[in-house]
Amino acid sequence: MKKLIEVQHLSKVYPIASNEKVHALKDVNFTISEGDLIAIVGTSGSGKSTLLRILGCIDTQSTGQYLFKGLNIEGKTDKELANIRNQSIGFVMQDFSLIEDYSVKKNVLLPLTYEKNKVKRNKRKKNLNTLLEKLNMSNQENQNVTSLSGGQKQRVAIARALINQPAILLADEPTGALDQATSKEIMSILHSLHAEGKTIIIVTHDLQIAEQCQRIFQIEDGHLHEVCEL
Amino acid sequence: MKQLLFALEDLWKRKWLSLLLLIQCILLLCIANFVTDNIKDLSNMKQEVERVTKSEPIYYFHDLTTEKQLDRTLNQSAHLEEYKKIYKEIYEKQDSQAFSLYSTSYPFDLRYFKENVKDLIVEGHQVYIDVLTFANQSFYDYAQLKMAEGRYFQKEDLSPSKQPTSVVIGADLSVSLQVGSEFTSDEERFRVIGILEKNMSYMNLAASKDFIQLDRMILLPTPVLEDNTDYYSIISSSFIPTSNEQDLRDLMEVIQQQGHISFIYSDLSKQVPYVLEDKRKWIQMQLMLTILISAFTLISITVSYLQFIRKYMFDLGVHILIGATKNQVIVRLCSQLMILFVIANSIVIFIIHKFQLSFIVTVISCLILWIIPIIRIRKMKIDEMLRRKS
Repeated sequence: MKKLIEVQHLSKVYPIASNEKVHALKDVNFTISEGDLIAIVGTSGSGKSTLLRILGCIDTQSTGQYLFKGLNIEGKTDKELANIRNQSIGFVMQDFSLIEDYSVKKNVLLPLTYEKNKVKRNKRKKNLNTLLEKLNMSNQENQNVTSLSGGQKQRVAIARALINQPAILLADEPTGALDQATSKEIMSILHSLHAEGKTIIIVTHDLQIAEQCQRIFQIEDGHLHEVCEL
Repeated sequence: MKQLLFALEDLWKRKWLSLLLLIQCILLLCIANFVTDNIKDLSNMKQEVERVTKSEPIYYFHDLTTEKQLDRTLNQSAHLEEYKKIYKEIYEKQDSQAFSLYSTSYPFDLRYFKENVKDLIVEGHQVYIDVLTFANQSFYDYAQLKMAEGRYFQKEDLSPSKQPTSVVIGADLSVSLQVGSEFTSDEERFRVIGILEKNMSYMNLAASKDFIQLDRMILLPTPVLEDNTDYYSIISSSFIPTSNEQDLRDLMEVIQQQGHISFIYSDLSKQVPYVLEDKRKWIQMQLMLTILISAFTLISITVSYLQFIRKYMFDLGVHILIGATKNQVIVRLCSQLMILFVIANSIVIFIIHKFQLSFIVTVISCLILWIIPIIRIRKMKIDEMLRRKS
């Protein structure tokens, strides 16, 4: 399979005081291919969210190399990174990260605001109904997201993450704020997306969720190692 | 454009906070205008003083008439002839260049001033307009007037018997009258021979020390003198440009002969430094106060603006997550303030009709107020923004 992400000797250091530093990530190495379903597990403060931020082009590494679709992310401008986030990466966050004053439709279509290609934009707008139907949200299209349940909100977040047909979905504790039944529902959606060929990385502290994934990476004190590959 | 629309949406979503910010912006613009008006006043006054001190001496009267003397003159008709004599000595001598800053509110027929009605006092079928008399060439030079249309008074206009009476009008009255137009006050007829440029004014350096705007005034070369004309007021507000002090001594003799009013004369140029110093102190005090208030208002706007932005930090984080750049987010934030200032500007310009200054203050205020939010957004991490859910 084609390599989507390559990380080599990646480290991230945060200065916290004049002479003190935190080594959030230490010499991380891994490769992710298209179609992978990856879980990154670790305790709180282990560095998994830091890694997800770097993979999602929200943050940059201190040292090492990060190649995304063969492109070296180092040295990319803010504009280029924003474009990568818009076109190639879909985010699903624990707190859903939806704009509360907007409707379901407006939240899902929000990434298209930053799509420069008008033709692509219009084409993807037309796919809205298909997407909402797939996620069982067609009836709530014009509803304000504040009136939705947690599970419904996460489905809207997934729809928003998919609207630009990104190469990869990054999910940071996607079931963290949901009950067991709803968590199963969301995981089922992610699995079906994976079955369609979507590459998905899930950051989680829940081993049960991790065990549902093809590959599991464990991150501990900034060091990452692969636990097993199914 | 998209960020501008988002900014409008942001302002609409938080209406009350936006309104508070808008009021603060209006206050800041008004104070700034007030400050510059004061500075301008001081500068204009300095110019006025320089001009007066450089030109031929202009003498004016200090009124030393006692209460006792005034009581005796309450019934002016008894002393009318004496006043007329003094008046003639001042104004009807050959080559007299005297002028008076005597103005009075005069009724004119309303039908000629319909376009100016909202700015003037109307009573029945008449409208009251301030008339400045003795607006002769000496006054023209004193006030450094400029004509927008037509001409100023010439020799033939100065004859009291000329009909209709020639007048020059202020710029604001030109919406109702043009050069050549005639209007009436009861049976008196007037014809417009000239229109002043906008913002013409004069300062009575001997008295009020304020600039009197001429835009809504009518200038007469000589007054229409009647038995009930206030000769005392005209005499006491007279200015006499002359290099010949003997003329003044002759005049003082005439005044002393009648004994009912007492004046001494004084060279304006010797008085004006004191006048200027008084005005400067007053303006400096006002400036200090208004600068303090401006600083406070600016701080207040900054605090309110930062509170306003805080409510949007999460939304901005979401936008960056899905593909906005930090610059786009900054443009959105800056647009919010810019929109408020544009609205504030429009309101202030509508009230005080001064575009240029309000625009400059807007630009400077925006540049100052944008600094903190821009630095904060640049330094802030996206996950920090996403944690700020309101």
